[in-house]
Amino acid sequence: MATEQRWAEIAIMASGDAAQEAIGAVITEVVGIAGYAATAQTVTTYLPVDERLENTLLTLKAALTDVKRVHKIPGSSDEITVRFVAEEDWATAWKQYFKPQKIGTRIVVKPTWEAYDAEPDDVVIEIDPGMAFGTGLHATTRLCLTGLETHVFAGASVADVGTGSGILAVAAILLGAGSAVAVDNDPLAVRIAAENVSFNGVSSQVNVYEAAEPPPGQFDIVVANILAHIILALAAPLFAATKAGGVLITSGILAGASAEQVAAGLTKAGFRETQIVTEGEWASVVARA
Amino acid sequence: MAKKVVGIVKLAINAGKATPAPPIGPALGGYGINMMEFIKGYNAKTADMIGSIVPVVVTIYDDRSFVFITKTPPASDLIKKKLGLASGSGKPNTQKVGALTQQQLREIAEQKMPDLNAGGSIEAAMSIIAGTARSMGVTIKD
Repeated sequence: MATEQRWAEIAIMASGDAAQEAIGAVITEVVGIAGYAATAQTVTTYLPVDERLENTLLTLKAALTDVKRVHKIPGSSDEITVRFVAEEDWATAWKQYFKPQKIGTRIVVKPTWEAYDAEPDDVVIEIDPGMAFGTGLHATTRLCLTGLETHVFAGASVADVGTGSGILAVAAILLGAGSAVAVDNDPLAVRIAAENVSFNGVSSQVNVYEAAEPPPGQFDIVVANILAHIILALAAPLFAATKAGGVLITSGILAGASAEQVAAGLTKAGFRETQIVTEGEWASVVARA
Repeated sequence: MAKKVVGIVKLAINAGKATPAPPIGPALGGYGINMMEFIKGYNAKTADMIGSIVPVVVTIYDDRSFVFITKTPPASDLIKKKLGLASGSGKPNTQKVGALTQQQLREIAEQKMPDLNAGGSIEAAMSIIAGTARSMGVTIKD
């Protein structure tokens, strides 16, 4: 087995375009490294740890001193920090974060590649994060999923406003809803939601399209995981879309004052009762029409 | 869905040839995003620019989703192309590899303008480009 590859992580303090461009030029042109990463304060690059490393670091240091002292580029620095890092499987490291997760009592959100032994009552939603679009494991999504689990009944009609990955519309159907209409104002979200809907085999029951407003008609359950100010702005159309006696489940709201405001706004729009459920710093406001 | 930005990473990497090796792997790995998806997307978007370094700004959200925007090539890349250089100087202070005319400097500055914090001033942009040129051993003709 080959020895483990090690890398020297070289961080150089640099702020502003001028300094980052100049230091980038030193890295790629003077030292000959193929690329670098930059954040607001730092330019970072990597060199394999081998017999040339020391020499390359000296070249780099000298060129950086030139940039700082001779060329006087504002924000540039010749201070470098070297840290040694072991080679990892960076390509697949992210997968460790995606594990099947049980939400509420029955819902399981499962990455497509993970095995999961479903219990008879489990409602398994398969999501492929290869599509790079959220995983449904965010607190706001969990709050909405739990809300759906509580309120969806067999044959219910559901509207999902701001569907994103489509996970809530899919969950509603898998929980027994008869049909769902999912809208999002982002065409990319619409495409991805449609893919997830299809992947979970619920295409015939879920209609996904691009819109910034709740869909026309009235629904037993309306779910909107967006942002507090958007929910407030949409309070009237959301009320109009909720059947008398139906339920609106909202999230994307910070717990505290923001949640109180949304509850007040929904009451003003006509909802009879509101309930605030929180998880960590996030809240879901559930309102009955 | 409410999404909080947890990181913004700017990468300057070879167009069409991104791999999970450094600097991309360690720069993005810590955020737990789907790296192959980024690499696939970046390589697809920059396939017709192979041979250039094409910077990209990746914005990562708290649900580990991300978006990226490719930028204009770095000034050093444009300077090399303009002068037909294979690479910059290894000793930029003493060993000069070329010289840009004011006109050439202006052309590069105009091309880079959209991505520079030059406040819309072409002079400020030209001074940023001139700084990069000096740091790679390229002088500016008056």
